[in-house]
Amino acid sequence: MPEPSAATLIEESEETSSTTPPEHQEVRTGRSPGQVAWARLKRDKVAIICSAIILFFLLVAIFAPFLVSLEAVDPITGAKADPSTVHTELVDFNGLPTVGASSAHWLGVEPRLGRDLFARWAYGARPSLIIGFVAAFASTIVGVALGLVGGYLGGATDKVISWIIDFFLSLPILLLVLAIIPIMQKRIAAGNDLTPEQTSAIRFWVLIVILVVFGWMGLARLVRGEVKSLREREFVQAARAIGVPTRSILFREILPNLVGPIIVSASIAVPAYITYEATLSYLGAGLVEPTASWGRTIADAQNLFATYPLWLWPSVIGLSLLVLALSLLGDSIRDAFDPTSRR
Amino acid sequence: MLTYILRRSALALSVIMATLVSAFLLFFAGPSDPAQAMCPETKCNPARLEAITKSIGLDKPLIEQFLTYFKGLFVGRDFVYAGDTVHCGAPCLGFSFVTRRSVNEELFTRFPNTVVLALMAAVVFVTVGVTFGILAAVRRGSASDRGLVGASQVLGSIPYYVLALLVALYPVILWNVLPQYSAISAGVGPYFMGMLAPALILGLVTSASYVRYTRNSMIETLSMDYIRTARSKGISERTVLFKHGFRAAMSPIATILGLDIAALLTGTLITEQIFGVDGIGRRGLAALRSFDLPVIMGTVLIGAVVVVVMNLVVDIAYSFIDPRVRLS
Amino acid sequence: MSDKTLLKVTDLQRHFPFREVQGLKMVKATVKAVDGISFTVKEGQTLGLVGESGCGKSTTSRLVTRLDEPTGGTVEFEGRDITHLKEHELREIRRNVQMIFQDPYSSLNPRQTVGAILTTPLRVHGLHKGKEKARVQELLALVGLNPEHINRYPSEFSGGQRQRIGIARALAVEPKLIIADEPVSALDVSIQAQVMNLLAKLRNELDLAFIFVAHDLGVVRHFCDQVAVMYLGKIVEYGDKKKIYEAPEHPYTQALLSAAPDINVARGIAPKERIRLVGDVPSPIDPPSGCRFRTRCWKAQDICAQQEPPLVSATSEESTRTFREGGVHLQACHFPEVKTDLVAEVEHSA
Ligand SMILES: Nc1ncnc2c1ncn2[C@@H]1O[C@H](COP(=O)(O)OP(=O)(O)O)[C@@H](O)[C@H]1O
Ligand code: SF4
Ligand SMILES: [Mg+2]
Repeated sequence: MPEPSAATLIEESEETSSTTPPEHQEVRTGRSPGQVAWARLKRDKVAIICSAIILFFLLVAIFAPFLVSLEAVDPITGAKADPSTVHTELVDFNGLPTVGASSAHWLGVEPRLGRDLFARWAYGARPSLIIGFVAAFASTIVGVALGLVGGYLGGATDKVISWIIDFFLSLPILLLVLAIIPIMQKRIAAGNDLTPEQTSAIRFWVLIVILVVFGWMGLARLVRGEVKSLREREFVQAARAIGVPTRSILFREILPNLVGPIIVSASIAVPAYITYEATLSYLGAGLVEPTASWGRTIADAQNLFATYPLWLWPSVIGLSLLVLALSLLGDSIRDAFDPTSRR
Repeated sequence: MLTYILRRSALALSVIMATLVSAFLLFFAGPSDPAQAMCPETKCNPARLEAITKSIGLDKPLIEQFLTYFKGLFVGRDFVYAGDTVHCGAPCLGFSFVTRRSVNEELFTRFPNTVVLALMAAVVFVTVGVTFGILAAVRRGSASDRGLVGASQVLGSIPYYVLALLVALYPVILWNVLPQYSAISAGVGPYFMGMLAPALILGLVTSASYVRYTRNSMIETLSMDYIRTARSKGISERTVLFKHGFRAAMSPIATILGLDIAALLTGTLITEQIFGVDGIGRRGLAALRSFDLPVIMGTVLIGAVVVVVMNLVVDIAYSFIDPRVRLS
Repeated sequence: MSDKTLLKVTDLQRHFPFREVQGLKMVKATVKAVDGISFTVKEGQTLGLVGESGCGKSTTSRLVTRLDEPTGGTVEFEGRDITHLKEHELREIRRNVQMIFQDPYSSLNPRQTVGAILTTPLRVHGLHKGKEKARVQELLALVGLNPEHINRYPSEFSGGQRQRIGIARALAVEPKLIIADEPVSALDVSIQAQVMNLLAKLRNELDLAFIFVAHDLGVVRHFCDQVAVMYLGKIVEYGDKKKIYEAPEHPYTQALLSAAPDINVARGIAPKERIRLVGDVPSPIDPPSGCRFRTRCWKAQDICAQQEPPLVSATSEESTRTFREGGVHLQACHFPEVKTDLVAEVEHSA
């Protein structure tokens, strides 16, 4: 090339060789936003207290059998407590317990059925936590997948997905869910003779599926919007120019940029689903006997709330505290990723 | 502008249509035997099943059933069941075989109760939310600010139905601090007094998020230049706050007000159930227990229409305030 | 230097259709972002693509790199028609044609280390298998960055350094043609010069062909062999650099040249005549009839509104075809007129 002038022209203002390290060597500590958020979270007292409470309930749920085994042998039944065995010998003919809180029954026994209330409380933490985390996980996947596809592909696919999001968001979801659950349950159970345990298990999974079906839209909308703006960013264009396959562009280039909002959304979803499950149980479309669940217990115990508060309160406290801790932790996580959200 | 309104209305209409179709499919094709499903369980026998099937044409093709239902929405229809003919005026939502009344009669008579509850709650959460929000913003960083924000966070985080239930059980039922719900036929005074407890708790809990919204939008406004200018001109702090800050902070709040219609509707459903308010939410839940499909479907449709129409109104109103919305 | 044609673009067109509501009617309209342009790039040569913002330069870049599909015309690379190839058929093109982007802040993935960013092209094309790291460090050194910084994130670098990373990424696949879309316009002036130096050095060392996009004639002057001046989706003047700078014929080129700061002002020699463009660029949705420049042209006559001036040689009867085969100087004005006094002092290249 007969063209030396580019170099010669500029040398008046510049160093001659551009291969020597250029410009200022100013270096900022390089941490990913995740690391920054994590560091902030570790300094957040509320987050630490909430994590401790959540950990406590997780341990209760995991070690429920062990905790229940710590209760003494009941002198009347001669047996150790468990969450499901009915002991009508522990209640009078009005259904009121004849035994109070004791070393054999830390929280007394259930009116009418005589089941050990501590065992039902400890085991009752399980469905809440499982539903909360499984539904949050599944709906996060669905939301991210649909948001990614709609946002990246655009066109007709995106139109359809956005419409479905708008559609779902304007449904009176609680009422619809209340109506769908029994219909779905009847469909699945149709013609089979099911034990109460089987019915209860079906209800459990139907509940999760329904919660996911009606719970993915918020995140999908968020991800779609983010992807739509990210895909126009030049680094995505650069990846395309290099020939990076679409799948890799979605998962290696775009998705890592969405980790923050996804984590925040998932952490806020967990308590929301637990609340939803408990509300459904209270309104009669949630978990059914004999599964031990806090929502179910609160619904049953409200009738005897004045005479037998020990039935109502442990579940009220357990549910409220768990949901509160999860929500506040979710708020803390959001603040950690986006400090401007709290002023 | 017109473009936006048209486009937005078309979307709303398509959503309502889709809700109608999917609700119809769910309730009329979802159950393996709709007639059986709609038959009041204790009194069900082959003759009744036959009568139900006849009455709403369950033996006809699904499309025909739907068209009949759809037509009923616009011109009304008559149901012949167990020797009676019940007329159901437009928009006819169906017929309950459990109560032998039209769904309209079941739901529309109760609708005012729901609206009264929602409006009273709205008064509570707007007043409480805006007042405390501004208070927190003005005292930004102080103990009372932190207390208000913390309290609103806690209040908004505990499952709503648990809070409402505790209020219903203790102050209302056990301690009689506030009267229980009574129908309006028993007197207007007791009716509104009875609405107080449910409206208060619904309004208070809903206000939790409004406190934070108001606080944030107020802080943003107060830090803007023209407010600073007003201050520096020596206008009294109070005038600055109320004339400039408040007015500017209202517009985002006004829009947020309309956005949570779906949540408010869910709130009234739970509240009605817990406090025994005879609204359509409670009626829908009762229908659920007796598996009264036509009434459930009617409730779902009314809920969907309310949410869609309110969102439409809010979006259009918002597009007048903030033109950027139209472009998205 | 070889005389082989690397890239041949013929009547390239990109219209973006969209729908618009006017009153109660839905009306179809098109943004004619690129509306029939032709040019060639030979091996190792550099074409400058110059025009005001919005004239279709980026769209052209995206069409040539096939990040976007043309709605008309053809793009040939090394004789192969790539106009409508599917993504999976473009592998070879992706290897041979690379792009450098305008915004160093958005062109690097903030969640990937420099190492990951530069390894991606190697992995996608299976280059330097097993020795990727060594190659990445070599690339960093090539663009004047510290090879030790392989594990840093983009946020740890300055704008100029980031642009160097972007250049290294384009070089990673050892392309034959690089399209640089305003690669220095987002940088500080002092750093612009450094990056231009680097590009010039790399071009000479690696014998690369370039399409260099810029919004003024100043930046490209010392870097290009040919220059194409674009206005509203069309090329209005095209020719060897010397012709464009010393004897521009189209009024628009003359206006651009007169406005280019570092050519005249920086030298302290005022041009004899100063042309100031008034008004905005018209919308590409509904471009002016006839000559698109007529709404801002001080020489416009009636014929300019009626007939579109073809891109031809003003001095001889050289046809458009000749130009496609490498003609020297073409322009699209009904009243071409050479102006030699716009550039006070022209540096002659060897
Ligand atoms: N995806 C698109 N849809 C519609 N119009 C577009 C699109 N991309 C570019 N344009 C329009 O095409 C014209 C040329 O844009 P561009 O190529 O970016 O210009 P330049 O790079 O020269 O500034 C502009 O008017 C722009 O608005
Ligand atoms: S054709 Fe007419 S309007 Fe266009 S540049 Fe030439 S003189 Fe100006
Ligand atoms: Mg551009």
